[in-house]
Amino acid sequence: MRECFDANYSDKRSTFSINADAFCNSNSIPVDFVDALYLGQNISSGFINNVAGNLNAENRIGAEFNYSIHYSYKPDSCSRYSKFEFFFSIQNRTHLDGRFSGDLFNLVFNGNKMFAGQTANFDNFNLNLLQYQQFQIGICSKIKAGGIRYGIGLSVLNGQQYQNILAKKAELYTSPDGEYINFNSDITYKQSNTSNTNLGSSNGAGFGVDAFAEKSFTIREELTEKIKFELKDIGMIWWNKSSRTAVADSLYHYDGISVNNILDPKNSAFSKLNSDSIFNKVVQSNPGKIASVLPGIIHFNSVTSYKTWQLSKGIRYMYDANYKLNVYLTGNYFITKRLMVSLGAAYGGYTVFSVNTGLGADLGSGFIVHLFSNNIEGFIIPQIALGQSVSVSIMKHF
Amino acid sequence: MYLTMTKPLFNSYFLFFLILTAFALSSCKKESDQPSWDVDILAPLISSSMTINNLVSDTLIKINPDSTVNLVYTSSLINYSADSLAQIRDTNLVSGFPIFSGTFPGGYQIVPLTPTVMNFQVSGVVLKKAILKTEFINIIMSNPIGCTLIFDYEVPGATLGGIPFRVFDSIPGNTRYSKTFSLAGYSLDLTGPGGTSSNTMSVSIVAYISKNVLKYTIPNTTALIDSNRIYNTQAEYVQGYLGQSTKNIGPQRSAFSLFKSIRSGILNFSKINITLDMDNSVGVDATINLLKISSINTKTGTTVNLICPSVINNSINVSRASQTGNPASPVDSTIKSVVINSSNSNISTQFFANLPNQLAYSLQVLVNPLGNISGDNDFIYSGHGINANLQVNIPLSALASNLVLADTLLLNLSNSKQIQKVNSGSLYLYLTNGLPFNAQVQIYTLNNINNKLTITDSLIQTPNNTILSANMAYIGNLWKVSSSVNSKLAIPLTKSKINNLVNAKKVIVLATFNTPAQNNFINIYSYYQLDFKLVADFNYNLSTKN
Repeated sequence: MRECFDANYSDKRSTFSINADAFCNSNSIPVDFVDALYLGQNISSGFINNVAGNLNAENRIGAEFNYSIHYSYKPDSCSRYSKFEFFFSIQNRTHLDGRFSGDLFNLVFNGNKMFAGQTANFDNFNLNLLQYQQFQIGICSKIKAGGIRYGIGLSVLNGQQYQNILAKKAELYTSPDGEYINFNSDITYKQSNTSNTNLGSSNGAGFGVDAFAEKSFTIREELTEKIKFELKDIGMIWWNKSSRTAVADSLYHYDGISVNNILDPKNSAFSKLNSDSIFNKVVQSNPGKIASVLPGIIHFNSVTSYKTWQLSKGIRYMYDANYKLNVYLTGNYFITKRLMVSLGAAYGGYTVFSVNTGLGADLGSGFIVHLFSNNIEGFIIPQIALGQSVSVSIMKHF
Repeated sequence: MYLTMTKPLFNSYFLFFLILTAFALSSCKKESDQPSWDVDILAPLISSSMTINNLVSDTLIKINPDSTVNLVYTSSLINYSADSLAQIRDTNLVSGFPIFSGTFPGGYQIVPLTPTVMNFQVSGVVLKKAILKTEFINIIMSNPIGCTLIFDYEVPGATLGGIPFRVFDSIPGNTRYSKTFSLAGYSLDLTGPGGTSSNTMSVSIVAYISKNVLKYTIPNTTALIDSNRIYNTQAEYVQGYLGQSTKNIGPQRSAFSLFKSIRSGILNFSKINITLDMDNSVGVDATINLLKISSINTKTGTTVNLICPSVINNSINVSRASQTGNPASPVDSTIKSVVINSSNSNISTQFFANLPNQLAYSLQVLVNPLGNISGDNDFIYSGHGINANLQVNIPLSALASNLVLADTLLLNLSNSKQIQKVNSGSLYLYLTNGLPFNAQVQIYTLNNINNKLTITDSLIQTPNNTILSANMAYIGNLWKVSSSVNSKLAIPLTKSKINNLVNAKKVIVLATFNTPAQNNFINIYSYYQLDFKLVADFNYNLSTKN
């Protein structure tokens, strides 16, 4: 969609853009619940129970917040590089994804009392948080009628923060009267240096590769088809030795902090009565380097253009990120040569069903703006919608 | 086909984007930094076990080979340091030593060897020997002539390793000499120059004209004035006759902590023994006369005097200690014990039935009641004295009836954010009692109201606030615990109770104990224990910053 006005400025050699996008999607948690968490609201029990009533056997959540500056340059036709376009970008990337059982949601938001005499099961709980800065340079070929256009971008990554929890097994049994709690776990928790997480903090380094290939076809007059295959964020980050890996692989029986002499609180274990002391009993934590794989994207897209209409359809998959295959269909309509609107629908990803819509405008003098949402339903019916997203881009051709 | 545009869209579209962005940002305004919600927690907080060791201070407990327990409590009645019997006060001695007149060469002795006697200021005692812990001697001499004098000052009776104390020094002409020397560790022979006197010490001095002077003329008869001051004397050991004296002790009170937590009720012990242990580690004979002992319960205002004709107002002679000759342990004390029990006194029926928290007593100690029968061989080693201790020994075999124990604990939960986030619920105390008594328990919160500490609430839900006694069985002629018994006590946490707990300055824990109703004394064994667990069952406001 960002390329929809490029034809208006085919004579311009440079393009500079500022871009930002954010989304938070789930297959079970409605938007207004996520908003309440984000906005720091006091969440009522009724609200929690409504959400809990709509949970699935496996629940997913994913969120991203990215912003970037992007510059591209097309050498003139006299240059030896006239067949190529070069680009450079700086991006700040934040990615969060997770999957969790309904029991875990209930334990966190309702407490463990509802599990008295039962086992709360959090098997396969997974949470990933990744923050990094991306410095990318790339090259792509110019569009040539009938030919294949291809491009590649190479990135150097600065790792800011990484957290990963994977619970192969996690069960919490609460005895009927609360006299003891058993926690059976096989959990691995990896985290980068937590004392240094500000924007730009360097706790690791890595690389990333983006690549694409596309081909356009003219089916008949004014009816064209462009197909594109794209790989994004193929890469890794190696986190430095200040990182830690914690493992909890045991059955822990907790029946209260043991106090030697209840009548002498100053000399007893009352001071140990905190969550840290319990955590330290369950978890073995070791410092050392760790590595993480970027949540890479495989994307196939096809755009059919006919007069003032475009129909974009495709499938997208993000691997190792609790993402389900996403299928989408979006129609673009150019109201004028300088104003375009879009509307579409999608299924999958972190959510179930979503409606996307957008607006693009060529403001003249080389300025182009785009405003797009993959989950417009999140703004209209946040009580039942499961996702919310927004993407903004301001571009200048010169 | 595109619609035609007559003017750029920049202004209107840009305005549209601005409005949209402003709307989006305003809708994202945060209410607080952290979201919060209420959760129902059911979790154990504390688990612990109590034996008799936790209920009574370790120092009061003696565990017997058969695991029965004795309460042992010692109260000091006399702690009489004998150092006061023979205190050597600061002593001054001023002597004049005549100086020859005439013209003398350098090195000529102008003051002949002149012994003089120094009398120590002691009263009522005849000291023959002392070993000093600390003492200082300040020697002050004035040289009345115009040239330097050399003097040799000696105290033959003060020796250290057999060498007398000696000062060899000089005094410039017409000047005053003043120097202080320590006599710590010196042994003093106080029998004087003839060896038959007492409380005395001889000092001798000779003086010369300095050898650096060719000759000097002393025109008139004059004298070398010597002023000695002996002060800050503390003896490690003294020997002699320490006199006949009487020391009155009391009437005075001492705290008696064995029953300090008991507020009311009846506590009968199967047996109580008191031993009055008297320890004389001084080389003097002593007579101790216990004039009166009373048990005082200040909570009830009741005083009970000990009735024991064989002890009260009956002089008890404790003969003198002897010297071992071993410097590491130089004294062999004389110990005398007198037993006070239920057969010769009212100790069980009245004296301790009063559940005293104080003891009052008065007594008299007479030193050397028969005079100087040791031939001036009384002795004192520093730190030794005459002591008398009252040792209470109670086998823990008791009958308790509505015995109310109370303890006050300081409390400060006002800064605890955790407890203030509890909305409602209960704390449950699960108890497994292996002790042979039941206890009705209540916890009261106290707060300052109108500058007066006032009970603001009771925490444990009634009427089910009783810890049930362990089951008992008659085993081998004794009542013993056969099995533990479970109880559950609830502490409701309403908002008002939480507020009272948070605002409380102190809490009073009040427990009313009863032994099982067999009307038999119940032995307490060291392995009897009470297990308990505190379980939280409450609604709690959780935030991501908790």
